[in-house]
Amino acid sequence: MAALPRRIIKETQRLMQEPVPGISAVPSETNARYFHVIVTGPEDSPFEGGLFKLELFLPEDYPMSAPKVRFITKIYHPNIDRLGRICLDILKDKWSPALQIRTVLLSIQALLSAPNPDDPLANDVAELWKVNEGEAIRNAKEWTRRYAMDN
Amino acid sequence: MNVDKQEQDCAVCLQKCHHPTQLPCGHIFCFLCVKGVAIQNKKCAMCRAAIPSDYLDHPILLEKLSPQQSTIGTISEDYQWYYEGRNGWWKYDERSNDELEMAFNAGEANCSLLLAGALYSVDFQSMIQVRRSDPTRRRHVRRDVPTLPAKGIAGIKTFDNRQTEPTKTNTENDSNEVEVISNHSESEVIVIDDEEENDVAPNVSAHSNSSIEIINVFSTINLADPESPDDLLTNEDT
Repeated sequence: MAALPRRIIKETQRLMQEPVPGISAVPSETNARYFHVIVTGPEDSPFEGGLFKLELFLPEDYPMSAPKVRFITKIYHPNIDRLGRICLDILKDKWSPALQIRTVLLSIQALLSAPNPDDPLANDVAELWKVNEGEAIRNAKEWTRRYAMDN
Repeated sequence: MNVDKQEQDCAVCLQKCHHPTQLPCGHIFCFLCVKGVAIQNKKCAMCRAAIPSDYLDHPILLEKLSPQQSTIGTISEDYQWYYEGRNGWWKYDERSNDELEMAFNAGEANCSLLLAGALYSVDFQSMIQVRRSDPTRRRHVRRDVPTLPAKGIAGIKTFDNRQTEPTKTNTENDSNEVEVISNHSESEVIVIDDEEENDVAPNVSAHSNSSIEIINVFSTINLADPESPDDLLTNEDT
């Protein structure tokens, strides 16, 4: 019943009209604040070739507070935990209302290119990433092949 | 993408700046967007520069707000929406007025408004505005001719010589209104009112034709209002 703030309508229209390469975000038919997201794994990353599903939800006080974003597809990444929760500053204390769905998803895609094991969310993954990066990257590629390529 | 057109838009609401307001860092947003950002994020949305805690006491408004200014919207020439404040009624900003008018004319039961970062719902049957995150915060609203005596628009107060001052019941009621001088027109005095929503008095008719009668009732309620100016800094509202 609640009408959608103009800003959300505008963002949604722009996402449809000028989609970000490698990212798709489609609002749910039943809830215009809930988006089905697909992010393609960046080139030259262990996630290349994968299609990663995420869910994005705009809380009531958006854009004063950040969207809630979570990976649905399993991913082997030091800053993303088993539940798909993402450790990214702009989703937390560095959020700004001038950021948008588009910029958030671009940042998440960039996070896939630049894992940061020094600020871990998945501790075991981060640990391996630090002590044996080669093996960690092999794991990430294997998970990408297993979980992000069969859809 | 049209960059020029984008740059005119407020980065918070993605619409044309309404009552453009400048932060100390130089970035410009709508007045209501600045208000939301100053209360909730306390940082500039563009550069993250800290917004001084007393900024809303003397915001820098870049456009004159003429007393005659009422509604600019195309569909709201005939009616203006008002919300109750202490000792009087505030006009909704032009954009919210358009949205209310559009929803009302479409026969909808209510209308959602995003005001200073908080979501509100205006119920057209009871003519009450409720904050979605805190339903105890409510105000009466009314739809009336644009020429009713009003305190100002969306918390920006204009002094108008033709207009009588709001009824004052005691000096305490004025403690939440702080005078500010716009740096672009020295003669212009604007008062920002950060008053809270009042509890809606059950014995007041929302459809009363007499604004004076309602004003008097709410003046009485205000006497018992325990709010102090300090509380308002952390607990403000549109």
